Amino acid sequence: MSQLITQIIYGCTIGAVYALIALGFSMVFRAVGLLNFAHQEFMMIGGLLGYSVLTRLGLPLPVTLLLITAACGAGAIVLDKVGLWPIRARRGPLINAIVATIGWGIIMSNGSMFIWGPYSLSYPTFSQLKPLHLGSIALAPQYLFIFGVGALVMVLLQLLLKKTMLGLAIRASAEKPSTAQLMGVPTNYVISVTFAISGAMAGLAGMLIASLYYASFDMGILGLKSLAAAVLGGFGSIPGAMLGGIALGVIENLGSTYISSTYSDIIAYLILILVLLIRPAGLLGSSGGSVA
Amino acid sequence: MPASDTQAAPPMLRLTELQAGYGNLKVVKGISMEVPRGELVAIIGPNGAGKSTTLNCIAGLLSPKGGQIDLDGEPIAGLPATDIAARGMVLCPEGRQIFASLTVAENLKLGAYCRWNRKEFTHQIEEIAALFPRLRERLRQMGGTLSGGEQQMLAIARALMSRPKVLLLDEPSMGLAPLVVEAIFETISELQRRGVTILLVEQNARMALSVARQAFVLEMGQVVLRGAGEELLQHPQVAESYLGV
Amino acid sequence: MQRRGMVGKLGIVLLAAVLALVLLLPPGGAMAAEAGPIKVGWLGILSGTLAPYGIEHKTGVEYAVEKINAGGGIKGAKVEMIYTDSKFDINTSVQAVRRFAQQDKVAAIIGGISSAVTIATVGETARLKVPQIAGLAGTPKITEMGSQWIFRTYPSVILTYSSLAHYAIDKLGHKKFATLAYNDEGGLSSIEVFVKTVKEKGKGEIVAREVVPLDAKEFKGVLAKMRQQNPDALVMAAAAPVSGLVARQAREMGWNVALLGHGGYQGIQQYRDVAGPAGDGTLIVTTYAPGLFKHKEAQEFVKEWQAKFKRMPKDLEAHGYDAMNMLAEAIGKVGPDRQKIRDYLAGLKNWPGAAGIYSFLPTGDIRKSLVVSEWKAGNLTPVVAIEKTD
Ligand SMILES: Nc1ncnc2c1ncn2[C@@H]1O[C@H](COP(=O)(O)OP(=O)(O)O)[C@@H](O)[C@H]1O
Ligand SMILES: [Mg+2]
Repeated sequence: MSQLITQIIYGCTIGAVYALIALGFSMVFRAVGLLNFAHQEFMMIGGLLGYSVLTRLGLPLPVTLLLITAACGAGAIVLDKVGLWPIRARRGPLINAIVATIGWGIIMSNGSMFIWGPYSLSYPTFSQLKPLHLGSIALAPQYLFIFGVGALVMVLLQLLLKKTMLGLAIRASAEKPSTAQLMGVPTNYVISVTFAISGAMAGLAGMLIASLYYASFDMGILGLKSLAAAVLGGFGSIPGAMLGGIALGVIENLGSTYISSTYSDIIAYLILILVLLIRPAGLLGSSGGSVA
Repeated sequence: MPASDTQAAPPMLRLTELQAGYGNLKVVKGISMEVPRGELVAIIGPNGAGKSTTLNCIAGLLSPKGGQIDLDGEPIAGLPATDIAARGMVLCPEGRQIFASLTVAENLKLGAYCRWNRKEFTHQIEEIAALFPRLRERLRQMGGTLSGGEQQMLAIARALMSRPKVLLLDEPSMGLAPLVVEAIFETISELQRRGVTILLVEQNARMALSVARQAFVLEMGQVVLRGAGEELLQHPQVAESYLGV
Repeated sequence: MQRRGMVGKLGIVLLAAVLALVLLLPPGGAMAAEAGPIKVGWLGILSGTLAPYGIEHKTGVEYAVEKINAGGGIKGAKVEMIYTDSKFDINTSVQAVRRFAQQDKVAAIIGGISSAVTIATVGETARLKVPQIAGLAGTPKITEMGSQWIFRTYPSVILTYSSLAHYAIDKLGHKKFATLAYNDEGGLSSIEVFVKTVKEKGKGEIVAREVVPLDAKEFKGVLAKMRQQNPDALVMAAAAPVSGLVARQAREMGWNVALLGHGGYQGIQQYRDVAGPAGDGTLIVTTYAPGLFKHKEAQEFVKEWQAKFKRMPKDLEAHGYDAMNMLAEAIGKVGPDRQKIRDYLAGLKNWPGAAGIYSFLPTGDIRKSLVVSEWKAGNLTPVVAIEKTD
């Protein structure tokens, strides 16, 4: 029983990281109708940049987290303005923009291999921490830290979206951009903000996951799983992305613990497909392509 | 009010030889008109005449292909919609375009985006509630769940939130029951009496002409008739084509 | 029509002339080869991310050739090496083998670095009947393909993981094992060998056997499941960073099981980097450690190498050096005849080299000395030599 609880907590931790990345996929999709296949590479960049800042500059972890989050947010704006917006502005076909994101993603991961090499770089900070004992449950404290940071960021995002004028503008622009413009909402700015938030959360997720495991130029693959998480929760739905991320993390972890580690991916994706067969729009998605 | 004053001040909105279209398709073929300060001017015409295109051009959603647009004496042709909204002219678009996933209160809040002020907002909500009592009970409801008439009221209320100098209305009566149409037009007249300059586009010519001081008939992207509202109501050509006499 | 007929006739005449020349040449060619240098082809990766392996092996070969030629060559004939970069590319490698055999007329080929590329060359050296001593190929496959012409001096995972099993049971006294393999050919075949060896010995038992996907990073669930079986040791066969995570997460859970592995995986610095202090104590079967083997050839090699390079020799340098010397001995005994060289190598037993004592099996696979090392305070430290393996 205590093992089950432990495994669920670990699953939630990985799931919180999946959710942070899934949110970005969803938000950008809602804002510009684009599947951004470069998105997961911001997670990779976050992980690797974080490593360099921690080991070269020796800055403390909280400062580094903020710095990397900001850097990845800025990077995502640049990606959009330089590499995607021109296609949108000239009304290029959507598929061309999607292929452009795939291209940028490949450039980012290969470029990172040139910079950081093909190595697995592990963070110095966490390795020495002792496990925490809560009754019969032994927990590695960094898992709690990561879950805490992930949950905090999701709460902040939800507050931003629901309680602020900027959040209102983001939601309105996602639904009806030209009507939002009629109300005076600068939708281009709002799109940039959306990319920034997505990139920032991905970068943060990258640092969190790298602090748990390690950073490497090919870690974006893990981020792509978050796309599945976003779909599981209901693509485009923000609470759905959170739920989907956590659900995927828990399913994966329980699957590898209680069924088979070899087939944990197969199990996770079978469940994903099963959910979609029963609820084609995902757990919290609204049907008919509308957003909620 | 002394006549000399009104003469000296420019009209609130002036179109000069405005042209607009989509790609190679010319839809608006050089129209000129003035909307004097504080007055209600109507444009009527058949489906596809270019009425919405004209309004979208004025509101900045579409760049004109020629001609001028002056708001309060200043040229605004080609400015983006956000800038025009900030200058105090708001379009209530065709089909109402309520944000279905936002609550009624949030729709209203967004209407005040250009001049957001929390204190004033609570005050304004009261004003809106006085004008549209039915919206008051629905503030927490999702925009998508309102009836057609309520959505139209919300669309107008949302536009009013920025306290615009000019209100552009695109077919507010579309798809509404006659009783609701009357209520909406009652509100429009009331707004005009309070001093808002209004440019109204309508297919419901009878209603439009009965509230408009000035009116224009648009056909194939050109103004084919103009005159006082009352006058056009009597005009045989209008009566035949638009009033179903 | 007329002209084409003429050209056709001329062509046939020319062809006949060339054929006659070719037929006349071989005796002269053979004579030239006896008088001239003995050519040996070397094939390995010299560019890209795997280049360090190729360069390390080549350095050892070069050093051996330098010593042979300085000592007057092989029965008066100098050794001439032809080094070729395989670029980690199958096609380049196969082309290189053909050129070595047909154009350069080499006596033998040393090399084939990395399993994938080496596998591709084995069929070609068999077809062309050229002896090949593979450089670094962890896969057991290359000596299981039925070729008479392939040998290896660097052991495959079969030798490493069977030796690991013997050592863990006989010397460490472990009885219950859990295994964790990467879901790829290397990981699965390694654990296969370990499990088979344990079963054949009849002394230990496998209590948990897990295979993990290549992109797995979270192992706490798997580890918890293994822990319930209470094994004495956890045997890992997965890439260095992934094994590092396994070690770290095991310790994070407060599980102090003994960790066992092999040089190509857990002997790499990345393992210790990712594992952190949790990696200390991991016991690893490696292929070489300078100074650990006591026989004369090994001791002298280290001394001479240090004098020349001002540093300790590395694993692949010692193995490359041995491959070249083995070949030189064969040529010295039987001459530069490919068939005779092959037969001589196939008969090598207890051959003392720099990186241990070698014996070839009939398949061309090797039995040679190994080393057990341990990560101690961040350094991979040799603990004991396994002088002879079987
Ligand atoms: N986005 C568009 N792209 C191309 N043609 C359009 C577009 N919008 C309207 N049109 C065309 O322009 C003409 C005028 O349309 P519109 O201004 O909407 O007319 P009205 O509002 O008077 O009914 C119509 O022929 C219509 O098909
Ligand atoms: Mg219209």
